[in-house]
Order: sequence, then structure tokens, then C-alpha cells
Amino acid sequence: MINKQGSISSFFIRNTYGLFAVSFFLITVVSGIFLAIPYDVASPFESIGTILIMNPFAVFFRNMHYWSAQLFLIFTLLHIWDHLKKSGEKKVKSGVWFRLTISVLVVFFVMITGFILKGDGDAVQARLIMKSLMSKIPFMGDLLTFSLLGKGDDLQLIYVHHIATATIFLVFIIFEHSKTIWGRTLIFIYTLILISVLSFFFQAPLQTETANVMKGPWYFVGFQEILHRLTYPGLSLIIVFGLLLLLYLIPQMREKNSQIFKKIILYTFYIYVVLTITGYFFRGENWELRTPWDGKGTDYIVNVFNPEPVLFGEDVTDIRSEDIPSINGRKESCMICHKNIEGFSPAHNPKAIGCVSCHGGNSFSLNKERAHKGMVVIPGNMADADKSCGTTKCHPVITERVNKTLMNTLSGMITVDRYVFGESDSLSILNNVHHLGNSAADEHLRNLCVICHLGNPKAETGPISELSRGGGCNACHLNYNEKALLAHSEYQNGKGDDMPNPVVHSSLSLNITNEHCFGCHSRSGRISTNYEGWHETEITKEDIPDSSEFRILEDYRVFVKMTEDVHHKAGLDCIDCHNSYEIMGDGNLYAHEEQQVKIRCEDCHFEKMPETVSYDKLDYESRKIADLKGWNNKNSKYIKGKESGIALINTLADGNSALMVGKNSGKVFSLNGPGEKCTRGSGHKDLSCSACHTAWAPRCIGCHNVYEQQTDGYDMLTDKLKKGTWVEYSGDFLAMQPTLGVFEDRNGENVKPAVPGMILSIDKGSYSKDEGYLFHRLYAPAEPHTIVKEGGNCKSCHNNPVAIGYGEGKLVYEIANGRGKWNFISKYRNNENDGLPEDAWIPFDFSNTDFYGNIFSHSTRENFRPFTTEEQQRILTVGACLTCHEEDSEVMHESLNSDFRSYLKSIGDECVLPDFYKAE
Amino acid sequence: MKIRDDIPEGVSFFDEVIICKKSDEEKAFSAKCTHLGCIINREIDGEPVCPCHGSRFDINGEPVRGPARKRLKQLELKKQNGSIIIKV
Repeated sequence: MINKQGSISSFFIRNTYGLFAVSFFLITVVSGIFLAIPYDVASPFESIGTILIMNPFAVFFRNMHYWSAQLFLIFTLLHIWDHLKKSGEKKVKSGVWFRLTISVLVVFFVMITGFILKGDGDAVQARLIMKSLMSKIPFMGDLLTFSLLGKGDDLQLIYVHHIATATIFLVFIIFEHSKTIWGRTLIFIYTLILISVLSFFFQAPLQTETANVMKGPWYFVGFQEILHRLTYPGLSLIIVFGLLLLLYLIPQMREKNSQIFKKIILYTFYIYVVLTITGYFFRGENWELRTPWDGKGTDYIVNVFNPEPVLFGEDVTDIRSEDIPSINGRKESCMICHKNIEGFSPAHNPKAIGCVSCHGGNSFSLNKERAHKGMVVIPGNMADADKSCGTTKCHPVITERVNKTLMNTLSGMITVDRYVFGESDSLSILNNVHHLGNSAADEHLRNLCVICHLGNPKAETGPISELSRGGGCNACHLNYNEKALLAHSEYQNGKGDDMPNPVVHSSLSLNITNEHCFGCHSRSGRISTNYEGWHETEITKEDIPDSSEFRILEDYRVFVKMTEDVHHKAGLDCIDCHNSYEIMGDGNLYAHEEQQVKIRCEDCHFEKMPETVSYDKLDYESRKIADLKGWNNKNSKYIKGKESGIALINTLADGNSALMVGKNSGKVFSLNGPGEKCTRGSGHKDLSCSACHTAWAPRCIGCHNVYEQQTDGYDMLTDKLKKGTWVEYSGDFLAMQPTLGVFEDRNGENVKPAVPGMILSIDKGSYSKDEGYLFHRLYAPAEPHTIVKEGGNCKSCHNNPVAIGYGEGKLVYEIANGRGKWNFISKYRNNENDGLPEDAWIPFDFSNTDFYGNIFSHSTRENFRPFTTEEQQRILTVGACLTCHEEDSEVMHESLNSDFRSYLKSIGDECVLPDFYKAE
Repeated sequence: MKIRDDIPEGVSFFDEVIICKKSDEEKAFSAKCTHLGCIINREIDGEPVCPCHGSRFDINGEPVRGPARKRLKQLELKKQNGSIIIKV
């Protein structure tokens, strides 16, 4: 009795690889006939798309054609090796062996032409490579190329060779060699079953438009690697023809030599396999070396097996192929189900760009699960922006810029935090939130700060709200109109599959409102809430008095009404001042916000008209925006930002006056110059506009940070809950006129507002046992965004201890016995760490050291400082005058008009200047 | 080939043409890689990259990374009535 194992092994002994190859070849030919019926060589990619969407039987035959062809190739190569191993080549006549050798080339030709006839992106490139390689064959390259590949982009000749010329040649060769074209019945049945099963479960490949890697067919991936290394690709033909020549000559060699050359062929094959593995698993986008475990995903690995059973039961009787939209040469089935969907901006209408270009997914299926597989519900997050918004055909340069903007890197935030934690001694280096580790500072950032970066993905559909943080491109550009909001709400509240698809889509547009900015910028410096005149309090929503003077945000923080910014009152939105280069970045990496933000008050509030830019000289982006907004009068001139050099595209300059147009509102604003007080004399020439015109700024003092091991926390970077977190116990939330400091850059020195960014203590030992206790007193430069038309009065700086940097308290000038002396009693007690009042920046005693003799580290910038002793004394000397003379008096006006020190020489004997004043 | 004179700074792709623009100066090149004729349709940091074998070129069409060794073929470009006309 023959056992089962014996019958299987004897089956394979009696039946060669060649017979299997013949069966696979037969299946390929017959399935190809069926596939040729729906296939259209004039528009191959579209016709395959239509097949995939509408014709499951054609899909099945396509799969059969593909899998049988691949197995035909594999078994042909196995058969060749089997012959060589058994020295079977010696039994073949030389003429037949010659034709068999040529047929190896023809087999690969028929395979690659099949790949080309898909008509997708990979196919187009493969054809170009083949054409280029063929044309390098000496003497007859061009003729061969024309004869085999035809002219231009036309696939007709390739198709004819694929289905006829090459196939007929192979039929003859197979018959001549094996004396059969039908093979053996049993083998045919087994191979047919195998192919049928494979074809039912695994789809033949077709490249999607969103694929970021170009890969040839699997049997040529190794060849692609070889070509990558060859500056002279024609050398690859020497390798190919060399191997063929070797194969042809083997039967004529002596046994010993033929064994050597067979080994050469074998080792060449092994090397080729290694190259193929390299090309498949370690070669990513733009030909970069990758590993599947590098944490950046594995979507660069082309899936040879697409496990998706053929769906024979789908009802497509109501659909005609002409109903399926064709977008840029590709059929997309999305709009068959998502009919009549509206709400798009014109540039993002699916009729222009389709759905897949943003959402991915499978556009070749009408089955809901299949079509939505791999779909990105919310495209535009930074993680996938390069595959949606940032593809080559859309906004590649912008997504690269946005990657570098401070709103994505959070460089300044990280730099200062690490400095404060003693983990860095530089306040100028560049950092990136995506590179945070788990040091004390980085953990502090993860727990408390870094949710507000553009890389934080938008995970839920719906509009940008007060609670929104991050979201990539959506953070600014996503909009829901009323209809879209209603449709979204209905869809969210709907139940089950009966709910129809939403018919109103959100739009992506230039309509960037303050609501887009509000969420993230209601934290940290609170500029979005400041701008609207709201100051954060420590009141809880339960204790809020019944008054319209209070506002509760969606995160339950309570704000009290203060003076709003005059620009907000007038109706200006954030983007009316802050243009696309500031927000999306200009491609440069910046350490701090004041480097990236280029708008200046004097760009609009000028004494003399600044430089202007005419429409025809606008940069591409500015002109695009101008065109979209309808501000594209060829005679228009736009103000050029002094710092940025970029046109302020919503301004219109005419002679020595200019207007601004609200980018969202369309409101027209006249741009007024600075007041007479601002430009009179030279005493205030180094003051920034915001130094005088800031009504108030938030001040937080007395913050203590401790790591609590048992408190539940959250990692904002990984979006994971965790045990243990840094906790910040905050002091008072105050709002008042800001302190002033001196900022130094390439334009010189400039006095601007400062806020107590970091008067804090850190119990670093609570995080790591080896660490200790830290205390810092650092102020930060600020633009509080609470500008008022009337600047502060003289005393608001010259007699104001907060403005000078001493903190709140009673600052009094006392004259006794002909001597003048300033005295200051702080409101707050002295901090035990440095002996200064809790809210101070500098001591009142004109020293620059603290109680313990430590030199102040001053601020969160290397180029920002408090007033020096001399500067304080000059300020207070004027303040001394103001204790007797009214601000509006002739004396004070005169003092402003002239050089102040010279003016002091003319004062009367009754004037008593401070002790520290020394006449020159 | 005729396209609107509306090209952003950097590298732009138009089928078989690449336009590199820097500081208002535009240059047009054939998008066919000089290695094996693939159509270049990708860029990294403002430099065209061939997706087939990784050749990379600068904005003057010179190869900066192989296997290509020849520069991209520069095409004649002229501006006329708000359009850019390129002799392909």
C-alpha cells in the first residue's frame, strides 16, 4: 500500500516544475482572454478602476491572470534550476537550448509588459525605465525600443506584444521543449484550484495615487537596487546579457567549468534575493533607507499580497460606468455613495481633486468597509499632512514650512523650561517638541504645557472650538458653516446604519477667524483672551457672581471683563495683522516668538509712508491670497512690512495714507499715524508702542512646582494617562499695567512690556532623588495685546514701581531738609529665596544682586533685561519732577522737547532732585 | 507648454516639466531624470528627487546625489501676457 506521504512525494518526483509552469501559463493565457474583454488599452488605469468597482467577475479573472503569471515565472525559474542541477541541459539540442535561453528574456518581457499595462504610476515609470535601458543597446537600441514599446505614451503596441507576439512565441517554445502545451490534467486541476483560491482571497496590485514610494514588480525590485548603484545604467544590460550568455554556453562547457558557472549563477541569484529584500523592506520614500522598526510606520512597504476576497454579491445593477467620476485619470467610487455632498471651497471640491487625495481609502470599491479601509477621517494633521495637504500636487512647500513654525516646534517653551530646570544653560538654542525625553523638565512639559502644538492631532470631527488644541492644517483652515454644523450634529446624534451620510462637508478656506486662534492662545500669555478684554481669575464656575462681567470658557475657567484691545474693538481679527508667513512660518527655525512674528506697529501707524509693493511684484503666496480675496487690482500698492519685507496684502497705499481691509470682515480701516506725544523729542525714542499703549497684562507670581508620584497625570505628547505628574500650585493671578524691560536686537535697544514669566520654585527632588530645590525670578518680554488708544500718562511709568520693576507697593518721593529721596514699601513680603518682594523683578536698592549676593539672571531671553541702575535713576529723576509739576505743565512739556539733562541745568533752586542725581 | 505665470517659490511640477523658482528667477527643466528617464515628481527641501532610484538635483538642475550624473535638460522659458511658455 502506498502511504499518503509516498504518493505526494512521488507526485512531485514524477511531475517537474516545468509541467507546473505549463499549467500556470495555460491559466494565464485563458484568464487573459476573459480580462481582455472589459480592459481598455486606451485608458488602462480607468478601465481597471471600473473593473474593480463594478465587475467582480472581471476582478476574479484579473487576479487569476496575475497570480498564475507570477507562479508561472517562479516555476519557470525553478524548472531552469532543476535542469541545471541535474545537468539536463546536456540532453537538449543546441538550437532548442538557444531558443530556451531567449525565452527567458521573453518571459520577463511578457511579465513586465503586463505590469506596464496596469497604467498606474509605477507602470508609467517602469515603461520609461525600460525604454531608456533598451535604447542603450548598441546599434539597434532605438529600433528595438520602437518595435517593442511603440511611440510616446501609447500602449497599443505593448498590448499587442503582450497578448500576441510574446505569448505565441512562448507557446511555440513550450511545445518545442516539452512536447505539450496542455500539461497534465491532474497538475492542471491542482494549479487551477490553487490559483482560484489565491484569486478569491488576494487582489492583484494596483498603485494608489497617494502612494509615496515607487516600486517595480517584485521580481525587478532587486534590479532597481542595482540600477540605483549604477551611474552608467547600461552596465546592467551587460550583467543581464552576460548571465544569458552564460546560460547558453553552459551545455558546451566541460563539466567542471559548467559547475563553476552554475554556482556563479546561483550566488548571483542569492545576491539578487538580498537586494530584493533590501528594496522591499528597507527602502522608503525618496529612496531613503528605513527599517520597519524605526517608529515611522511601515506604509512604505508595498504589500504584494492584498488580502481582500472578491465580493461577488455586491449589487451594482443601478450603476453605469459613466456614472463613476474620473478624477485626474483615476476612477473614484466615493461619490456614488456620497452623492450631492456640498460645502467645499472651490479648490477642494471633489470634482476637482476627488476624495482620496485628502482622505485616502480605497476608491475602487463600492463596499462600505472596503472603501473606507485605510481612510483618514480627519486629514490635515501634521502626522499625515505630507500625504494629504502636502502632496506634490497640492501644498508641499507649505507643509514643510509649517513643520518648522514655532506653533509646531514649541522651541521657546521648551528652551525656557529646560533652562529653568537647570538642564540647559542656553536660552537661545532650538528645540522641538517631538524630541522630548523624560527628564524633569521634559516631563514637566509633557504634563502641563505641550498640548498646544500643531502636531497634536485633531481626533474628532467637528469645528475648531475653545477646547481645540493642535490639529495641523485644520487648526486654522477648517470651517463649518451653519448647514455643515447642522449636518454634523445630525450625523453625530444619528443611530445605526440607517442614518444617511452627511451631505454638507466642512470646508477648508482662508476664513481664519479669531475662534481658530482662541483655544491655544487662551493659555500661556493669554493673548487671545487679553485681546477681547478678558482676564483669567481663580474663581470657580460655582462661585461666579451673577454678572455679565464674567465669562466661563468651555474648560470652566472663569474670566473677568477688562479693557479690550482697541484693534479688537474696531473689528480687526488676528490675521489682519499676522500674515501667512508669520503663522505658517517662512521656512526658518526660530528659537522664540518675537523672532518669527515680524509685524510691527509702525508698519501701519507710520509717520512717513513705508516701502510699498505693487501687485505685479508680489510674491506668489501673497498674490494668490490677493487673487482669492479679490484684491488684485493691477494698480494696487501694498505696504511692505519693515521687518518681514513681505507685503501686508490687506493694505492699500495711496500717497502718504493707507487703508486696511479686514480679511474676514471686509471692513475698511484707515491707518492713522502715531500721536504727537509719541514722536515729540528724543526722550522716548527707544520706547516701543506697546510700552505706553498696553492697558494691562496678566501677572502670575509665586508658583510652586512639585512632582506628585501618586497623582493621576497625562502625557500630552503621547496622549496617555499615567501615574505621577508635575503639579503647579499657582500664586495670584493679577492684571495691571506691565513692567517694562529693555530688548536688544539688530535694530538697537527697545523698551517693551515684561511679565513675570517665571517667579517660581521647583522641587526637583520630588521627581528625582538626586536633585534639589530650585528658585527662579525671570521676567519675559511680552506683547499683551491690550492696546488702548490713549497711552499711559507720565506717572504710570515714572512713578510706578511695577513699571520700573520693583513690584507693587508704595513708591513715594520725599523731600526733607533740602534732600530728595525715593522710598518704596512693597505690597508683598520678601521671598526667602532671594530677599526680593514676591512680585519684583529687581531690587529697589539699585543693586544687581539679590539678598544673598547672587547676580540676577534677569529674564527668559539672553537679549532682554530690566533697567540698569542708571536707567532707573533717570526714570525716577523725571518721576521726582512729576511729584510737583503736572504732566501737562509747560515745564514737563519743555523737558520732553529738549535734552533732559541739559534742561535740568536750568531748573530753579526750589527744585530738589533725588540724592543719586549728579549733575554733569 | 503654456502655464499661468503664477509659480510659487521652490520647485513646481507640471507633467514632464519642472520649474525651479528662486528670488523671482525661474528656470524650466525636463522632468525626465537623466539616469533612466523616470519622471521626477517629488522634492525634498526644495530639490527635485527622482522616485525611481533616488537621484537628487539642485535648483540649477545639477545632480547632487546619484546615480544620475548629468544635469537635467534645461528648457527654454519665456513669459508672455501673464503666461509662461516652455519649449518642451
